[in-house]
Amino acid sequence: MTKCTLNRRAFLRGSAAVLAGTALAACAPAPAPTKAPSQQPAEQPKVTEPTAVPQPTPVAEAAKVVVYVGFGTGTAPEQIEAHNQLAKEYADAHPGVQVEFITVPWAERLTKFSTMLAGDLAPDLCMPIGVGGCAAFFDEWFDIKPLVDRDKIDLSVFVGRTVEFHTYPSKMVGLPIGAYPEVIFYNEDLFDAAEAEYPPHEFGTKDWTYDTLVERAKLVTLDSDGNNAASPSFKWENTVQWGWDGLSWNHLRDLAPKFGGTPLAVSDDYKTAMVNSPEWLAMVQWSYDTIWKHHVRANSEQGGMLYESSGDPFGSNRVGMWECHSWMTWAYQGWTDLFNWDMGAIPMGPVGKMLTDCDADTFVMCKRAKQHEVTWEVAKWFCSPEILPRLADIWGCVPALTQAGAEWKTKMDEKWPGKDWQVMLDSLKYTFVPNSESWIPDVEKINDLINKAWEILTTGQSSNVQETFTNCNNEIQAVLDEYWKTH
Amino acid sequence: MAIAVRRPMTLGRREAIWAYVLISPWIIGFIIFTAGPMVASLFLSMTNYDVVNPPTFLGASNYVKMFTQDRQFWHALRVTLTYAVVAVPLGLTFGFMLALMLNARIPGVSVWRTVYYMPSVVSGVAVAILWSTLFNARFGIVNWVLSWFGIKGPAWLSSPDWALPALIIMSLWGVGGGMIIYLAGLQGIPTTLYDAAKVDGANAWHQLRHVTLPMMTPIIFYNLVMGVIGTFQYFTNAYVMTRGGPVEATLFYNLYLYFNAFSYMKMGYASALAWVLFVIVLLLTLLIFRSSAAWVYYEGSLKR
Repeated sequence: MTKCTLNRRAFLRGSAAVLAGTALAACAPAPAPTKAPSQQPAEQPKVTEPTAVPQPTPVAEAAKVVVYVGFGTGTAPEQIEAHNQLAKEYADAHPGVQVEFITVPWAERLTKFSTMLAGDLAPDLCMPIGVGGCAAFFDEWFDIKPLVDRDKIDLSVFVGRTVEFHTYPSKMVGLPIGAYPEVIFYNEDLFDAAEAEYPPHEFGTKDWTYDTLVERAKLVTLDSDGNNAASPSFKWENTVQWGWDGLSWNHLRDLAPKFGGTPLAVSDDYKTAMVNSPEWLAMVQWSYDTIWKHHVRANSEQGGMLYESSGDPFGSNRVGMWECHSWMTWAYQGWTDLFNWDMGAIPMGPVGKMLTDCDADTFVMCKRAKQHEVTWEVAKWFCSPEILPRLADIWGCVPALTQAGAEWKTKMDEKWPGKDWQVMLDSLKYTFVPNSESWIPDVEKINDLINKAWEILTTGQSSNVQETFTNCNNEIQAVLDEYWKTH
Repeated sequence: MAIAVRRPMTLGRREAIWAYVLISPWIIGFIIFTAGPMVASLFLSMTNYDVVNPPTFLGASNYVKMFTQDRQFWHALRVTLTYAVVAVPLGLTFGFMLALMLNARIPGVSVWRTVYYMPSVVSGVAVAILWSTLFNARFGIVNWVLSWFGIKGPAWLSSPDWALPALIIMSLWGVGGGMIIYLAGLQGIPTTLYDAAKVDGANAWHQLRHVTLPMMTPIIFYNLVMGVIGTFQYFTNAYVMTRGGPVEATLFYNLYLYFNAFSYMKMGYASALAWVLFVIVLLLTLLIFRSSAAWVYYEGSLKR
């Protein structure tokens, strides 16, 4: 009979073995992905040649398609309820397939999603997800182009260039579901009080440029004595009302194409930083001048003073024009309670071509998920003419189907009468591609660097646009160089 | 036929086995959930790892980059040290003063103690949202109070100059936690010491200087160590209120680490940042421990 004793040494050895095992397990790589499509630089948009159609994965009994919600809108209680209703409808119409929505707060979206990927628990679908969300995990998305070709999906039914937002040279990540066009929201009460002319509702008129926007904004910008920014008596330190705001919730990448700059902020081959290009510098200088020269936009401190208590800058009732996207649906009621408002056209930039930015929501299929075929069927159902407008309604966006535009406008007219909703539909005709949220290497880091450079200017830390953005360009270049060392 | 003879276990061995059996849940949990991940993160700190793809070994590259090329690393360290140098002494002083006041025999002292301790039990995010409102440049109470004195308060959280001071002021919200520990220490000081001091002619200041403070040094030491560790773990308020801005004015070390891990998906680099943070905190704690011989008084300890 063997003797079984436990001494301290044996115990420590055992513990060390367990520790080593645990550490090895923790260090073990996540399941190796299939070769991710490379980010081959190429002109946008370019649709890849159809590749071999994936073999259908056998549909398991009572397959469950998990939909991850959190990359954008869709997390409000009423939205969760509406999603669940759609899931129920799908299950009723498709016995044997269940759809389950997992809703994650926006602040936790990255940690939760990356943890799910690392734990080999990739959801089947993610939606709604914007172009920027797609860019953040670009290599994780399944290429739906072969499925689109196989099923002969008619891409011409989608509005404007929204299909191109989700189409990269290496793959197509999703189909458009909703669009968030860019417009100028304007406060009619402030314009009336200033006896200023409203922004036009037609796009591309020759006299509606960023220069004329500034002139009109000056009339609406007031100091505490009631002098407007066009008056010699105007004291900008005492400004209490601003004529324009366009970059509080937008990124400089949104504005760049209107001045001839690239919305990517890097070269087309993604290897060279471009934020000190003459076009970018002209755009930043113009933006800087709206604050410190023309005084029609609040600087960081003034903005902090006046906007912090409002849900959004325009909602402060102290901004005449706000250049923003249509994802402000949630704020419409608050605005309406405070003042009369409407929408106008985006001005034409110095580039001389009518261009608008557009955010867009889509679905993406996770490459690591295990049932692409059944997931694709669910995704197609979401994009069908019957369901897509409902999803767009839940998410507060313009449906990405051209044919659904008129019905959407009628609904909006009923809900918010007296507003020119056609402006939003028209804005979609001028969207530029590539989208301002498109993939670039280390997208989050580069966006943060651009934001920081802009903050240096808006806070008055520097007045030298060229130096600030040259420094920013150098920092971005270092990020790009490091990225390409390992890719 | 040989018969195996089993020797009876000694009492000490039996006790050892039972001791290991009884603590094994904690030990197993520690190994799996703490020590294992720590060792893993040490390995990952020497890799390029984005969570979703297998790590690739880089050797010491992450550390070299951190010390030689990463401007933001040094900036985040500077912000955190600045915060620590101001907020820790401020918190220690305010907590101690509060404890002295609430150690006095005043009517309703229990209520006051509860009132001052209460903020310490409110969760981090709720506090951050509350203080965002208090610091609101237009409607916030802080600027409202300043206006009584004819001072036009700044846009606290929008100004690169005022955002960090705002967070330092806000740190006083949590002094109630330290206060309770000080209070317990104050009540443990024998009254005979004060009586003896009075007999020697000591006034209130002398009693504080020569009796209370020396007797409280172990508590101050404990709060100092915990305060230093806490400031290097500072995250929630900066994340919720400023996200490191404006112009990186509140880019605390932990926030920068978080951005690398979960925004930029550079988990290997974030692991390296975490290990450097560990070493910094370890060194500072050792420094404080080494200094304690010179200023911490332990009753009953033998002085060589």
